[in-house]
Amino acid sequence: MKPFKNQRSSTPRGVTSLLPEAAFRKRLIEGSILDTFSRWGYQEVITPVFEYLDVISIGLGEEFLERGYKFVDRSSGRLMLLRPDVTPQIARMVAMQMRDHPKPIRLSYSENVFRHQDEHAGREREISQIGGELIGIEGPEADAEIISVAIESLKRLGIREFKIVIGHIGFFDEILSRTGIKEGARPEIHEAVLRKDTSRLKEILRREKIGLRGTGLVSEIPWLLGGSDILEKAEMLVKGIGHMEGIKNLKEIFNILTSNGLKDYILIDLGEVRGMGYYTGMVFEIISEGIGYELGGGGRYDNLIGGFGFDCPSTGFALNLERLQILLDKIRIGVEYKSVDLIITNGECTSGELFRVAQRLRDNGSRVIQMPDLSNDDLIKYARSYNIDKGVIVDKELISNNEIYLIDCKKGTRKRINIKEI
Amino acid sequence: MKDIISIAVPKGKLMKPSVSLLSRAGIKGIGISGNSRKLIFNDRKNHYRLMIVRAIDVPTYVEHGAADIGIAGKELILEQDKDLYEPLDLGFGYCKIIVAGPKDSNYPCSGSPKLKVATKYPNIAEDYFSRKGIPVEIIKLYGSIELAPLTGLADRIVDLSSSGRTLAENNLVILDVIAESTARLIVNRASIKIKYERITEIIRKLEDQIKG
Repeated sequence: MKPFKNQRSSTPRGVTSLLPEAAFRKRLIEGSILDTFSRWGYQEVITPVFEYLDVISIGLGEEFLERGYKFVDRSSGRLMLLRPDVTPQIARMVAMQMRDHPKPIRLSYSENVFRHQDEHAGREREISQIGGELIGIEGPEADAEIISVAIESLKRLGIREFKIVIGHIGFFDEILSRTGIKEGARPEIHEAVLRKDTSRLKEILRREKIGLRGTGLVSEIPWLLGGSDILEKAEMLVKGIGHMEGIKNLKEIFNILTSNGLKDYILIDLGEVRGMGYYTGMVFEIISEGIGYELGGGGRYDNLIGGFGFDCPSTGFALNLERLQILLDKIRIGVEYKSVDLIITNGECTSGELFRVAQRLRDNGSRVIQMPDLSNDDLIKYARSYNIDKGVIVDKELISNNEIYLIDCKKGTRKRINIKEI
Repeated sequence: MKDIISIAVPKGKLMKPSVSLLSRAGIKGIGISGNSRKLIFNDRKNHYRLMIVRAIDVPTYVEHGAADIGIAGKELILEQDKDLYEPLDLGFGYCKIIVAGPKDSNYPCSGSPKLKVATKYPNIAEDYFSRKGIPVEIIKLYGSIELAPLTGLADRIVDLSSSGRTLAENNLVILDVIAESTARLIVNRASIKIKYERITEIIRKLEDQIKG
């Protein structure tokens, strides 16, 4: 409801315009993460902003299809979708264009995704995601690598208090099928486990007439949360209902991460079986002190690329850039923002001479604003308002000796120096 | 920040039993009261922070992580559909979410093509009637819902009822019970992982209190 009826809001809700400093900080975070990917051999790809709905929907769950922004293609009349998720696009790309490339393939991306959110939910509709995919290998090493890259991305941003919370889709599915729970009751159980709603879970199990042992087992799932001992506990718990592939797989991943010295970042939560509908094995979320939502997440998705016609296992993750920026802002990590290095203006000289000096400084890597006929005081005033440290005045007499006036805008002092000294 | 657990306590009828339960579990907000202007009560020794929040806002505080833990009626959790954990049914604050109408109404149909439903819980009401396949127009009200059928504003109401007395006094009868509601412990999804040892301990202590 708007206070004034005929006042229209100027931007849609859930999207943001970033002013220079915020934009600078966002690119800094993006650059750091892409650089981490690059050091691990992940090559960046760029995917289209919209896709044909019928093609990409193969890889999208119901939720994204519902929350996606759709429109009609003017030429073909087909429905298009603003991408709500990048991974299915990469899956399509691999299946259609990179089929013959030797495996494994390591890809990264930094793209915006679009998802409808209700108003006032405090959530964005345009989200910047940076992610990586390790395509073509099945083993625990690949999953451990993806988790290691996620950990390193955060560490390089200066974030310390975070956890990678690992679960396993397979473990959950295996328990449900071994305890004889009917297909129809599974979505309800899934939801109760996701909300760690023990009382509802017990209620459903009672209604479904699951025996004492099965009830005990399933209602324990949300609380299989903690360090490596949880894997032992889970193993004990499922003893007698047969071999559990999920636990074995998680143990292998955990052991690799432990031997890489990353154990302290890992938390096991076997009740955390959310995420994209296409996940098939290990799944994880990245949670940090100081922000109430996950910073990102990922998992193994062995059937997604197959949906586009090329069977190929894969694993990956993505980070939410806006949330990272909020967190980094909160814990005040980041460099001081400097928009420009110096302002240059003319004393007694032609505009050509001014231009040539400015250009010389730019060639040496300085960020230079050129403003003609600025008085000493006006230059200092403008510089201070943008946190610019230095000013330069070019004078015909001095420039013939390669000299200029350098103004220290903070102190307000001015001295004659050789241009090379800048 | 890492070692402080912040707890959103609802104002209103759930406040007293909530404070009492927390205190039995060793979580004491010294001097806590709903009448005070103070909204935050610290237990520095045991690293707790209790915040007094309007009941309807508790799920929002917890979802965004402004509070690690909160206590909220199940009806609010159903209505608001927030992304959070609800690990414990605390047992107190029992009430029913009901559909009610004037005494002589034939359920579920009325003569009009669209049933008008007044409620504080538009999502619960919408979901209930759509599952029944009954076309409705929801009218969101903020209080005295019982007045709506008496004044012709609505044909039915969806509201909470504990004893049914208010309904009876206004010549309304319960036509159906949508769900039963009690107070729940809700927990932020990130907090339980960052502070999992302390939070699981709190859950366990509260559970012991409820059972015992």
